[in-house]
Amino acid sequence: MQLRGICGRRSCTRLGLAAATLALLGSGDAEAADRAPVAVETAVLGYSEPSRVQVLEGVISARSEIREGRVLHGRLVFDVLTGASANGAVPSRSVQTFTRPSGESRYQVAPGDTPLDDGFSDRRFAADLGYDLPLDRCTQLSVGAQGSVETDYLSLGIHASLSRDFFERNTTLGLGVSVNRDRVSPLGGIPTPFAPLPTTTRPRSEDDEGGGLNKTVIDLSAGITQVLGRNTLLRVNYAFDHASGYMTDPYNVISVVAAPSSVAPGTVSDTLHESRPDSRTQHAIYTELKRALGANVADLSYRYAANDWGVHSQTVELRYRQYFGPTFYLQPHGRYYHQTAAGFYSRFLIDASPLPQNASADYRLAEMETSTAGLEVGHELSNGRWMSFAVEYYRQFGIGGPQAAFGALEGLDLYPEVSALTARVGFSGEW
Amino acid sequence: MSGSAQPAVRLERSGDHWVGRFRAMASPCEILASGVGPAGARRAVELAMAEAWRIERKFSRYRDDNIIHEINHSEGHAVEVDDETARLIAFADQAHRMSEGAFDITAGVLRRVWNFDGSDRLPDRAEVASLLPLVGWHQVEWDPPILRLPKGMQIDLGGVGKEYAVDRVASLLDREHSGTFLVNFGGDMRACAPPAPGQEWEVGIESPHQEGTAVQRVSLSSGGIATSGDARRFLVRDGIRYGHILDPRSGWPVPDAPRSVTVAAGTCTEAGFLSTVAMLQGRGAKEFLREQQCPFWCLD
Repeated sequence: MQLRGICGRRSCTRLGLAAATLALLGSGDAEAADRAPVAVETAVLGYSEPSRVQVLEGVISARSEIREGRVLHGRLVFDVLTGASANGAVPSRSVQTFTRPSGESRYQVAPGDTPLDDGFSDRRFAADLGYDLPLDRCTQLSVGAQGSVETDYLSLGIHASLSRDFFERNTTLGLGVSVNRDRVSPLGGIPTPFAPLPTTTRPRSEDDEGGGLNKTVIDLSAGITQVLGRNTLLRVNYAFDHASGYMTDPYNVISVVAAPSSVAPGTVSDTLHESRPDSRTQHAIYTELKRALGANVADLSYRYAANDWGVHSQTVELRYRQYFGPTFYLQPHGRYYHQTAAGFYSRFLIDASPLPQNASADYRLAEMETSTAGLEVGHELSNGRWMSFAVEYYRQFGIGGPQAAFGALEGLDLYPEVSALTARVGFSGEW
Repeated sequence: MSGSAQPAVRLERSGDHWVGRFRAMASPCEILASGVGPAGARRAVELAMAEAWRIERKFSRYRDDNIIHEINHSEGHAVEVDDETARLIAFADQAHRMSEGAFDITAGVLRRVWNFDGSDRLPDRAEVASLLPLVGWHQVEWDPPILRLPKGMQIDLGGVGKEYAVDRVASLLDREHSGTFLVNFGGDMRACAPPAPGQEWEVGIESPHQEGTAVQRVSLSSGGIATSGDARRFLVRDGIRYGHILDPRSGWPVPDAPRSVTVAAGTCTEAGFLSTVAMLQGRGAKEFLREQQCPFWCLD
């Protein structure tokens, strides 16, 4: 029972209990109205990369057992993003001028600075809705739909999963599928791969609107959750995902620099739009071990993912929740992540060399390590209503690629570290 | 059915509803009736009392003329049980499985060495250990409707009988009478419907420190509430308080359990199961109940 709680399969436990009770009391009680409390979780989150992106996010999610075992759940997320983000170009010894994606205006970057597009601003609204229903005592079907909308991005999807308990509910097998169809409609239209960034501004025209391309993402997953003794739970999950369509970042650029053998090696001669493959296939394995130590819970997980872009990543995460009395807990956590660079990642292109099939200077596709440390504090305000506060510090380091600086690039920070601070206030309870 | 020698039902008016009181299952029992006149209320309370007494007679382990006595004195032989008994045992069987052995109707024999009278008389470890071979539902052969209890073992449906009676009475009243009812047998309650549309039954959870004092009022429109824990049944030795809920797997009370746990669920039977299993989590009771996503009140 304790394990049922820990592994979060409470709906199945409660369902098993409800079924056993129904068998005891007879069908005369079947129509007895249950109280259907609505469990609500809300959070406000602030994310800040100093002098770069700032995000303010509000989340509200709710779930309610509308009939025995049948749970309706939904979630709304609203984000406001502002600030600057790296556009992919290399820093330079001279002032660089870039035309904004909309084509209407330009911005300048000082010598030696990492080029950041400071006009970065968007709002994102996302929602998902799901319905879990039991097919029999041990089998549960879950179906749902999700969507998100930004100025230049629309994503719509559906998902379904099936889980079944075996061996007195000590083992749960699950299968899931999710399909998303996205529409990318960048400001200023879809740029031509490797087209030079315009050097002049132009007024916005009607032709700019409506230019968009699609992307389809299919996820398949299979998992097993196994109870190991009274206090331990193991979860292993395999996920396959395939994305196809427009995968390029329409706002990312890549610098072309003069060859080492040229008159001014390492100087920026041009700035091009990036280009990525139009499909990506990824396999991922996730394992998680959860152990209850009295009321306290330790959770260790490891994830390995590899995709055909050449990015292989590993994540290790440890989380521990310690209660100090029944109404107060501290939960420290730490995470380490490493990835290899995508095969087409390139910090810059060399002038007069043949263009590769694809190239991107997006630091998120570079080799990198990240580490995260955080602490959450939770306090029960009244019956089952909890308030939590969490802070997290995140740092990217060891960012790199195959190319070394030369000529005018020497001494410039081609792979700047990025750090971020996140703070979240959450509230959960039942009504 | 109730027998003419039994004292009559006491019926009182309380606000806009009627309260009928009687005793059954060693507990004060109350029926709150709304939307009925005094005659209807009296008939409903009499029906409730008759059903409570019927269940008590049939499943009490203190009698020598019922199915429990027959099972407990079967000396290892198979006993065929009736439908209602089979349903209760089937529930206990499921409850044992769902609670990973924490809920066990064979645990009653431990009371031979545990006497929770407020004293400091703890049983000897060896005494407890000697009884453990007689505890464990997994040792029982249960092939409905045939039950075979190993010799020396006993079953006690006290852990589910009262909650079952509350649910039975509530659905019986709901079916047989106009009006709406709250059934309360010693703190274990069930309502099939609110007292009036948009209203709620107001009930108090008793303080574990003092009988008869409600420390928390809760509102219930429909559903069940059950409480585990009893402030008056404990032992104290060397400053450690041993509550009366025993873990059938160790034979000892669970340390650091709350004094009482009250749970609300769809039925009284479910609430009773959850509150009992919660007590057996000791310090983890609240965490367990939170995971179950049911309203609860813990008194430490």
